Amino acid sequence: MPVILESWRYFLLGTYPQGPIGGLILTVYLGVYTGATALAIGLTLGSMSLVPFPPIRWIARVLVMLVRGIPSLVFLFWMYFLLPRLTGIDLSPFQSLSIGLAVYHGSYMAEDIRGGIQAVHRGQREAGYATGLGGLNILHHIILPQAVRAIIPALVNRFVTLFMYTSVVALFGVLDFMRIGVLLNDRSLIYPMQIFGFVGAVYFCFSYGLTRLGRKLEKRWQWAPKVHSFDTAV
Amino acid sequence: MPIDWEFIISKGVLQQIAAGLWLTVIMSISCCVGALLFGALGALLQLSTSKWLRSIGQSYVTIFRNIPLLVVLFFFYFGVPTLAQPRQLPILYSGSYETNIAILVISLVSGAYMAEVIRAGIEAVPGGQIEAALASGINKRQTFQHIIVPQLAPIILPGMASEVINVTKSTAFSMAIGVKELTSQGQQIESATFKGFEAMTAVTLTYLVLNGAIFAIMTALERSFGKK
Repeated sequence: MPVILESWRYFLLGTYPQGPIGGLILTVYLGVYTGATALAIGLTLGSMSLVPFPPIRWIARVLVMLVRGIPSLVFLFWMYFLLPRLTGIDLSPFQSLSIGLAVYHGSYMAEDIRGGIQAVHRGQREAGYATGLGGLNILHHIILPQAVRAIIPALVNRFVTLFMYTSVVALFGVLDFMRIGVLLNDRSLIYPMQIFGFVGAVYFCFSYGLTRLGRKLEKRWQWAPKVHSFDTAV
Repeated sequence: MPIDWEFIISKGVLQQIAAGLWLTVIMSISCCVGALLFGALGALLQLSTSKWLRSIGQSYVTIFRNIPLLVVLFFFYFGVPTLAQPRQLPILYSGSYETNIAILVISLVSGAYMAEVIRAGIEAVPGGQIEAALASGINKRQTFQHIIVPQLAPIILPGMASEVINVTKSTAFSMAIGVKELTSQGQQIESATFKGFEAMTAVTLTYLVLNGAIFAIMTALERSFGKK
């Protein structure tokens, strides 16, 4: 363990005073930033796949299917090496990777969101119309509460996965928490179990904490009626 | 940028992609079998009547669902040799060590997800059926074997389908420890020829076809079980 204690600064901040900030702080920042962007992308794509105008629906569905059919690593290769070459836009590795992660996990969220909204039985909407409510009122008071309750568990799982998968940026040389573990292991060589055990434990604390927060959120939404037969499509 | 299709369908590239695809498929199948075993074990442990066994099952699922695959991969890849000599673990060291480690780790991690799918499936069988079975005089094991298991397939297949596709995609991470699967073959083509665009197009298309095929197979399975 001394090897970990000695380099606590390195784990927490990376090479900060000398270089850009890294380590655990970067991992957490990446998680929050990517999570928020992914949710925005998920909401956009999810709503697009529910629009009554078919071409927009198709665009969203095809995009989501393409992204979900390939490993995140391959998708990040596209974003990291090929997007700058194709478009000529110069992005920093951090930018292109975080956008890549956000789009990748955002399309999973889109699928969860679409599934949740479609899981609300159409009879509910029809009943809303029959009682004289307008479209927005039906969405606000009838469809969304049920859909949100159905979506929350899947979405929380997705956020946890997204946080864990930010470790992939280590393979592209970004100095996040995982990368520091790898570098330290390369240098010390004889403590792999201690180093990766520690790295895993820290990731575990964050993801497990996130899972518990998600449970609380689920409890708070229990007032909404439960949707039956909700399963996310592949 | 115009894409060089002739390069993609040239013999050398196709050979490398095929080699990578072969390893990805072999690994996916092994990992699925492993994940099913670990998953069934995890689910049964979680549903056990013994408190200790239940907590073992629960910790297994919680731990492997909350640690990144990459960290587990590196932990085992670098950690196992510090614990045991190659001759003490002949199975793990036979053939390619990194491939075996990758299969073991992906099975362990996906097993934790699979355990949740299987557990939810078992719990979805109505309790009244189990009570009826026990009341009609057959024992617990027989109830499990003849009442619960036959009903499981249609319940857990949708969840399993997405898990199988996840496993296939997870195998790409094994390139981090030097396994020569599809993604790493694409990287190799790129570094040898500088045609990254073409190499990644080939890899991406192969993954799409592979996952499309898995999706079709799983949907067909669901349909054939749904008819009953």
